[in-house]
Amino acid sequence: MRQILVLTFVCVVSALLLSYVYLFTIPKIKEHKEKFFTSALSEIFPNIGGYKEVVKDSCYQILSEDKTRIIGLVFRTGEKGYGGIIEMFVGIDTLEKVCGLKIASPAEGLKETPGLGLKIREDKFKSQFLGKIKEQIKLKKEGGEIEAITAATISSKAVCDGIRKGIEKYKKYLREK
Amino acid sequence: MRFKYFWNGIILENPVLILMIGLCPTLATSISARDALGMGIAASFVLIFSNIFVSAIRKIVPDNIRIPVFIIIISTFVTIVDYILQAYEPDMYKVLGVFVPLIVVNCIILGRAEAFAYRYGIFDSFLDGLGKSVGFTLVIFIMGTIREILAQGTFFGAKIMPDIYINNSLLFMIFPPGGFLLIGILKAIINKLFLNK
Repeated sequence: MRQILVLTFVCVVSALLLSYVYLFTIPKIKEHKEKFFTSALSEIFPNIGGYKEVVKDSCYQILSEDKTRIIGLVFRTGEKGYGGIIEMFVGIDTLEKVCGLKIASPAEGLKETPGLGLKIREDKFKSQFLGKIKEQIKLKKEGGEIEAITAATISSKAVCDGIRKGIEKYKKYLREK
Repeated sequence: MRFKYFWNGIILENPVLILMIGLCPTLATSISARDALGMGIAASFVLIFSNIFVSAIRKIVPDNIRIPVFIIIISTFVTIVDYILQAYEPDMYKVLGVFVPLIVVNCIILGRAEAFAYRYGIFDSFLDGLGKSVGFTLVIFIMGTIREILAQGTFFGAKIMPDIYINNSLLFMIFPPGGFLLIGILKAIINKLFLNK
Protein backbone atom coordinates (compact mmCIF):
# COMPACT_ATOMS: atom_id res chain seq x y z
CA MET A 1 0.00 0.00 0.00
CA ARG A 2 2.71 2.42 1.00
CA GLN A 3 4.55 1.64 -2.21
CA ILE A 4 1.56 2.62 -4.33
CA LEU A 5 1.09 5.86 -2.40
CA VAL A 6 4.75 6.86 -2.67
CA LEU A 7 4.97 6.09 -6.38
CA THR A 8 1.71 7.95 -7.11
CA PHE A 9 2.88 10.92 -5.08
CA VAL A 10 6.22 11.11 -6.88
CA CYS A 11 4.58 10.79 -10.30
CA VAL A 12 1.97 13.47 -9.60
CA VAL A 13 4.56 15.96 -8.35
CA SER A 14 6.76 15.20 -11.36
CA ALA A 15 3.86 15.64 -13.80
CA LEU A 16 2.83 18.96 -12.27
CA LEU A 17 6.38 20.28 -12.39
CA LEU A 18 6.83 19.22 -16.01
CA SER A 19 3.55 20.68 -17.22
CA TYR A 20 4.51 23.99 -15.63
CA VAL A 21 7.94 24.01 -17.34
CA TYR A 22 6.31 23.01 -20.63
CA LEU A 23 3.83 25.87 -20.46
CA PHE A 24 6.39 28.60 -20.14
CA THR A 25 8.99 27.18 -22.55
CA ILE A 26 6.79 26.15 -25.48
CA PRO A 27 6.21 29.66 -26.92
CA LYS A 28 9.99 30.25 -27.01
CA ILE A 29 10.67 26.88 -28.67
CA LYS A 30 8.13 27.60 -31.42
CA GLU A 31 9.66 31.01 -32.00
CA HIS A 32 13.13 29.50 -32.60
CA LYS A 33 11.84 26.97 -35.09
CA GLU A 34 10.11 29.77 -36.97
CA LYS A 35 13.29 31.86 -37.02
CA PHE A 36 15.45 29.17 -38.64
CA PHE A 37 12.88 28.83 -41.40
CA THR A 38 12.40 32.55 -42.07
CA SER A 39 16.16 33.15 -42.25
CA ALA A 40 16.47 30.33 -44.79
CA LEU A 41 13.54 31.68 -46.74
CA SER A 42 14.85 35.23 -47.06
CA GLU A 43 18.20 33.86 -48.21
CA ILE A 44 16.68 31.76 -51.00
CA PHE A 45 13.91 34.11 -52.19
CA PRO A 46 14.79 37.66 -51.17
CA ASN A 47 11.67 39.43 -52.51
CA ILE A 48 8.42 37.64 -51.99
CA GLY A 49 4.86 38.57 -51.31
CA GLY A 50 4.26 35.76 -48.88
CA TYR A 51 4.29 32.03 -48.49
CA LYS A 52 1.83 29.25 -47.89
CA GLU A 53 2.60 26.09 -45.96
CA VAL A 54 1.43 23.16 -48.08
CA VAL A 55 3.05 20.30 -46.19
CA LYS A 56 3.43 20.86 -42.48
CA ASP A 57 6.98 21.85 -41.54
CA SER A 58 8.43 20.77 -44.89
CA CYS A 59 7.06 22.42 -48.01
CA TYR A 60 6.06 26.00 -48.70
CA GLN A 61 4.68 27.66 -51.82
CA ILE A 62 6.29 31.02 -52.49
CA LEU A 63 3.95 33.71 -53.79
CA SER A 64 4.87 36.60 -56.07
CA GLU A 65 4.84 40.12 -54.71
CA ASP A 66 1.23 40.73 -55.75
CA LYS A 67 0.33 37.32 -54.28
CA THR A 68 -1.38 36.10 -57.47
CA ARG A 69 1.12 33.53 -58.76
CA ILE A 70 3.29 30.81 -57.31
CA ILE A 71 6.88 31.70 -58.16
CA GLY A 72 8.54 28.73 -56.56
CA LEU A 73 8.77 26.29 -53.70
CA VAL A 74 10.94 26.01 -50.65
CA PHE A 75 11.12 22.61 -49.05
CA ARG A 76 13.01 21.07 -46.20
CA THR A 77 14.80 17.83 -46.93
CA GLY A 78 17.26 15.65 -45.13
CA GLU A 79 19.54 12.84 -46.15
CA LYS A 80 21.90 10.67 -44.18
CA GLY A 81 25.45 11.91 -44.61
CA TYR A 82 28.63 10.67 -43.00
CA GLY A 83 28.00 11.85 -39.46
CA GLY A 84 24.23 12.08 -39.36
CA ILE A 85 21.30 13.65 -41.15
CA ILE A 86 22.21 16.60 -43.35
CA GLU A 87 19.30 18.97 -43.09
CA MET A 88 18.74 21.59 -45.73
CA PHE A 89 16.28 24.01 -47.23
CA VAL A 90 16.06 23.99 -51.00
CA GLY A 91 14.34 26.52 -53.21
CA ILE A 92 13.17 25.67 -56.74
CA ASP A 93 11.60 27.97 -59.31
CA THR A 94 8.65 27.21 -61.58
CA LEU A 95 10.91 25.39 -64.08
CA GLU A 96 11.97 23.01 -61.28
CA LYS A 97 15.48 24.49 -61.31
CA VAL A 98 17.28 24.86 -58.01
CA CYS A 99 17.50 28.53 -57.11
CA GLY A 100 18.73 28.40 -53.57
CA LEU A 101 20.22 26.03 -51.04
CA LYS A 102 20.75 26.47 -47.35
CA ILE A 103 22.39 23.70 -45.38
CA ALA A 104 22.04 23.66 -41.60
CA SER A 105 25.18 24.78 -39.76
CA PRO A 106 26.97 22.59 -37.18
CA ALA A 107 25.21 24.65 -34.51
CA GLU A 108 21.94 23.67 -36.14
CA GLY A 109 22.72 19.99 -36.01
CA LEU A 110 25.06 19.24 -38.92
CA LYS A 111 27.48 16.50 -37.93
CA GLU A 112 29.86 16.24 -40.88
CA THR A 113 33.61 16.16 -40.33
CA PRO A 114 35.28 19.57 -40.10
CA GLY A 115 37.73 20.02 -42.94
CA LEU A 116 36.09 17.32 -45.05
CA GLY A 117 32.33 16.81 -45.14
CA LEU A 118 31.71 20.22 -43.62
CA LYS A 119 32.87 21.76 -46.88
CA ILE A 120 29.39 21.12 -48.28
CA ARG A 121 28.48 24.42 -46.65
CA GLU A 122 31.00 26.34 -48.71
CA ASP A 123 29.80 28.41 -51.68
CA LYS A 124 32.20 26.66 -54.01
CA PHE A 125 30.23 23.44 -53.57
CA LYS A 126 26.77 24.90 -53.11
CA SER A 127 26.88 27.17 -56.17
CA GLN A 128 27.15 24.11 -58.42
CA PHE A 129 23.51 23.34 -57.77
CA LEU A 130 22.08 26.68 -58.89
CA GLY A 131 20.07 26.48 -62.09
CA LYS A 132 20.30 22.69 -62.30
CA ILE A 133 17.32 20.42 -62.81
CA LYS A 134 16.74 17.10 -61.10
CA GLU A 135 18.48 14.95 -63.72
CA GLN A 136 21.69 16.98 -63.49
CA ILE A 137 21.94 16.76 -59.72
CA LYS A 138 24.11 13.68 -59.39
CA LEU A 139 27.81 13.26 -58.78
CA LYS A 140 29.91 13.27 -61.94
CA LYS A 141 30.87 9.64 -61.56
CA GLU A 142 27.19 8.72 -61.42
CA GLY A 143 26.47 10.59 -64.64
CA GLY A 144 25.47 13.96 -63.22
CA GLU A 145 27.13 17.33 -63.16
CA ILE A 146 28.11 17.81 -59.54
CA GLU A 147 31.77 17.72 -58.62
CA ALA A 148 32.15 15.85 -55.31
CA ILE A 149 34.37 17.24 -52.56
CA THR A 150 37.64 15.36 -52.39
CA ALA A 151 37.57 12.72 -49.62
CA ALA A 152 33.97 13.58 -48.78
CA THR A 153 32.01 11.66 -51.39
CA ILE A 154 29.41 10.42 -48.92
CA SER A 155 28.51 13.93 -47.76
CA SER A 156 28.47 15.25 -51.33
CA LYS A 157 26.27 12.40 -52.51
CA ALA A 158 23.89 12.89 -49.59
CA VAL A 159 23.29 16.52 -50.56
CA CYS A 160 22.54 15.48 -54.18
CA ASP A 161 20.23 12.67 -53.12
CA GLY A 162 18.41 14.87 -50.64
CA ILE A 163 17.73 17.55 -53.21
CA ARG A 164 16.68 15.06 -55.89
CA LYS A 165 14.27 13.25 -53.60
CA GLY A 166 12.87 16.55 -52.38
CA ILE A 167 12.16 17.79 -55.89
CA GLU A 168 10.54 14.50 -56.81
CA LYS A 169 8.35 14.56 -53.73
CA TYR A 170 7.22 18.17 -53.75
CA LYS A 171 7.22 19.33 -57.39
CA LYS A 172 3.49 18.70 -57.74
CA TYR A 173 2.87 21.64 -55.40
CA LEU A 174 4.27 23.99 -58.04
CA ARG A 175 1.05 23.56 -59.98
CA GLU A 176 -1.53 23.08 -57.26
CA LYS A 177 -3.23 26.04 -55.72
CA MET B 1 34.53 18.49 7.87
CA ARG B 2 31.42 17.87 5.85
CA PHE B 3 33.01 19.73 2.98
CA LYS B 4 35.12 16.69 2.26
CA TYR B 5 32.06 15.36 0.39
CA PHE B 6 32.53 18.28 -1.96
CA TRP B 7 36.32 18.07 -2.36
CA ASN B 8 36.28 14.29 -2.81
CA GLY B 9 34.34 14.62 -6.05
CA ILE B 10 36.96 16.75 -7.71
CA ILE B 11 40.07 14.55 -7.48
CA LEU B 12 40.02 11.62 -5.06
CA GLU B 13 36.61 10.36 -6.16
CA ASN B 14 36.48 12.05 -9.53
CA PRO B 15 33.56 10.31 -11.29
CA VAL B 16 35.26 9.97 -14.65
CA LEU B 17 38.93 9.46 -13.91
CA ILE B 18 38.79 7.56 -10.59
CA LEU B 19 35.35 5.94 -10.31
CA MET B 20 35.34 5.41 -14.10
CA ILE B 21 31.59 6.03 -14.49
CA GLY B 22 29.77 8.24 -16.98
CA LEU B 23 32.30 7.50 -19.67
CA CYS B 24 29.92 7.51 -22.64
CA PRO B 25 28.80 11.14 -22.39
CA THR B 26 32.38 12.12 -21.59
CA LEU B 27 33.71 10.54 -24.76
CA ALA B 28 30.79 11.45 -26.98
CA THR B 29 30.31 15.13 -26.20
CA SER B 30 33.89 16.23 -25.57
CA ILE B 31 34.51 17.08 -29.23
CA SER B 32 34.68 20.81 -28.58
CA ALA B 33 35.06 23.02 -25.52
CA ARG B 34 31.61 24.52 -25.94
CA ASP B 35 29.74 21.22 -26.31
CA ALA B 36 31.66 19.77 -23.39
CA LEU B 37 30.82 22.67 -21.14
CA GLY B 38 27.16 22.49 -22.16
CA MET B 39 27.00 18.79 -21.37
CA GLY B 40 28.82 19.34 -18.08
CA ILE B 41 26.42 22.04 -16.95
CA ALA B 42 23.31 20.13 -18.06
CA ALA B 43 24.41 16.94 -16.28
CA SER B 44 25.44 18.95 -13.19
CA PHE B 45 22.01 20.53 -12.91
CA VAL B 46 20.36 17.11 -13.04
CA LEU B 47 22.86 15.55 -10.63
CA ILE B 48 22.58 18.25 -7.96
CA PHE B 49 18.80 18.43 -8.01
CA SER B 50 18.22 14.69 -8.16
CA ASN B 51 20.61 14.24 -5.23
CA ILE B 52 18.71 16.83 -3.17
CA PHE B 53 15.31 15.36 -3.96
CA VAL B 54 16.30 11.74 -3.52
CA SER B 55 17.77 12.64 -0.16
CA ALA B 56 14.68 14.64 0.83
CA ILE B 57 12.26 11.77 0.27
CA ARG B 58 14.59 8.91 1.23
CA LYS B 59 12.73 8.22 4.51
CA ILE B 60 9.32 7.71 2.92
CA VAL B 61 10.48 5.62 -0.03
CA PRO B 62 10.29 1.86 0.63
CA ASP B 63 13.48 0.02 -0.23
CA ASN B 64 12.04 -2.18 -2.97
CA ILE B 65 10.71 0.64 -5.15
CA ARG B 66 13.61 3.03 -4.70
CA ILE B 67 15.06 2.53 -8.20
CA PRO B 68 11.83 3.44 -10.06
CA VAL B 69 11.47 6.47 -7.81
CA PHE B 70 15.05 7.55 -8.57
CA ILE B 71 14.42 7.17 -12.27
CA ILE B 72 11.26 9.27 -12.14
CA ILE B 73 13.05 12.04 -10.25
CA ILE B 74 16.05 11.98 -12.59
CA SER B 75 13.99 11.92 -15.76
CA THR B 76 11.86 14.81 -14.50
CA PHE B 77 14.94 16.99 -14.18
CA VAL B 78 16.33 15.79 -17.50
CA THR B 79 13.09 16.78 -19.22
CA ILE B 80 13.23 20.18 -17.54
CA VAL B 81 16.80 20.68 -18.81
CA ASP B 82 15.71 19.52 -22.25
CA TYR B 83 12.93 22.10 -22.51
CA ILE B 84 14.96 24.93 -21.01
CA LEU B 85 17.82 24.30 -23.43
CA GLN B 86 15.40 24.17 -26.36
CA ALA B 87 13.83 27.45 -25.30
CA TYR B 88 16.84 29.49 -24.25
CA GLU B 89 19.92 27.86 -25.81
CA PRO B 90 18.62 26.41 -29.10
CA ASP B 91 22.08 26.36 -30.71
CA MET B 92 23.54 24.31 -27.91
CA TYR B 93 20.47 22.07 -27.86
CA LYS B 94 21.04 21.17 -31.48
CA VAL B 95 24.66 20.26 -30.77
CA LEU B 96 23.99 18.21 -27.66
CA GLY B 97 21.02 16.67 -29.44
CA VAL B 98 20.47 13.09 -28.38
CA PHE B 99 22.81 13.34 -25.42
CA VAL B 100 20.42 15.40 -23.34
CA PRO B 101 17.78 12.67 -22.99
CA LEU B 102 20.62 10.23 -22.39
CA ILE B 103 21.52 12.03 -19.17
CA VAL B 104 18.77 9.82 -17.69
CA VAL B 105 21.02 6.81 -18.01
CA ASN B 106 24.23 8.62 -17.04
CA CYS B 107 25.67 6.24 -14.46
CA ILE B 108 27.04 9.08 -12.36
CA ILE B 109 23.56 10.33 -11.54
CA LEU B 110 21.85 7.05 -10.71
CA GLY B 111 25.05 5.91 -9.03
CA ARG B 112 25.17 8.89 -6.67
CA ALA B 113 21.45 8.62 -5.90
CA GLU B 114 21.90 4.98 -4.90
CA ALA B 115 25.31 5.18 -3.21
CA PHE B 116 25.06 8.52 -1.49
CA ALA B 117 21.84 10.53 -1.56
CA TYR B 118 19.67 7.62 -0.39
CA ARG B 119 21.77 7.29 2.77
CA TYR B 120 22.78 10.84 3.72
CA GLY B 121 21.07 14.11 4.62
CA ILE B 122 20.02 16.81 2.21
CA PHE B 123 22.97 19.14 2.75
CA ASP B 124 25.56 16.37 2.48
CA SER B 125 23.88 15.09 -0.67
CA PHE B 126 23.91 18.57 -2.14
CA LEU B 127 27.66 18.84 -1.43
CA ASP B 128 28.29 15.42 -2.90
CA GLY B 129 26.30 16.32 -6.04
CA LEU B 130 28.13 19.61 -6.38
CA GLY B 131 31.55 18.01 -5.97
CA LYS B 132 30.88 15.22 -8.46
CA SER B 133 29.42 17.77 -10.88
CA VAL B 134 32.51 19.95 -10.70
CA GLY B 135 34.71 16.88 -11.15
CA PHE B 136 32.72 15.68 -14.16
CA THR B 137 32.48 19.11 -15.79
CA LEU B 138 36.18 19.77 -15.26
CA VAL B 139 37.27 16.53 -16.93
CA ILE B 140 34.87 16.81 -19.86
CA PHE B 141 35.81 20.46 -20.36
CA ILE B 142 39.55 19.73 -20.35
CA MET B 143 39.00 16.92 -22.86
CA GLY B 144 36.81 19.11 -25.06
CA THR B 145 39.39 21.88 -25.05
CA ILE B 146 42.29 19.60 -25.93
CA ARG B 147 40.35 17.80 -28.66
CA GLU B 148 39.09 21.03 -30.19
CA ILE B 149 42.53 22.64 -30.23
CA LEU B 150 44.28 19.58 -31.64
CA ALA B 151 41.66 18.70 -34.25
CA GLN B 152 40.36 22.07 -35.37
CA GLY B 153 42.89 24.59 -34.07
CA THR B 154 40.12 26.57 -32.36
CA PHE B 155 38.97 27.28 -28.82
CA PHE B 156 35.26 28.06 -28.36
CA GLY B 157 35.18 28.43 -32.14
CA ALA B 158 37.88 31.15 -32.19
CA LYS B 159 41.02 30.41 -34.17
CA ILE B 160 44.08 30.14 -31.94
CA MET B 161 46.48 28.07 -34.01
CA PRO B 162 48.34 29.23 -37.13
CA ASP B 163 46.87 28.28 -40.52
CA ILE B 164 49.72 25.91 -41.23
CA TYR B 165 48.61 23.82 -38.24
CA ILE B 166 44.90 23.94 -39.08
CA ASN B 167 45.55 22.60 -42.57
CA ASN B 168 47.55 19.67 -41.19
CA SER B 169 45.76 19.15 -37.88
CA LEU B 170 45.38 15.93 -35.92
CA LEU B 171 41.90 15.41 -37.33
CA PHE B 172 41.51 12.02 -35.66
CA MET B 173 41.25 13.70 -32.26
CA ILE B 174 37.65 14.58 -33.06
CA PHE B 175 36.80 10.93 -33.74
CA PRO B 176 36.28 8.24 -31.10
CA PRO B 177 39.92 6.98 -31.19
CA GLY B 178 41.10 10.46 -30.20
CA GLY B 179 38.69 10.46 -27.26
CA PHE B 180 39.82 7.06 -26.00
CA LEU B 181 43.47 7.97 -26.35
CA LEU B 182 43.03 11.22 -24.47
CA ILE B 183 41.04 9.71 -21.60
CA GLY B 184 43.76 7.07 -21.25
CA ILE B 185 46.43 9.73 -21.04
CA LEU B 186 44.48 11.73 -18.45
CA LYS B 187 43.86 8.58 -16.39
CA ALA B 188 47.56 7.80 -16.46
CA ILE B 189 48.46 11.30 -15.29
CA ILE B 190 45.93 11.14 -12.43
CA ASN B 191 47.19 7.69 -11.37
CA LYS B 192 50.76 8.90 -11.30
CA LEU B 193 50.01 12.12 -9.41
CA PHE B 194 47.39 11.05 -6.87
CA LEU B 195 47.30 7.29 -6.58
CA ASN B 196 51.07 6.71 -6.59
CA LYS B 197 50.87 3.85 -9.02
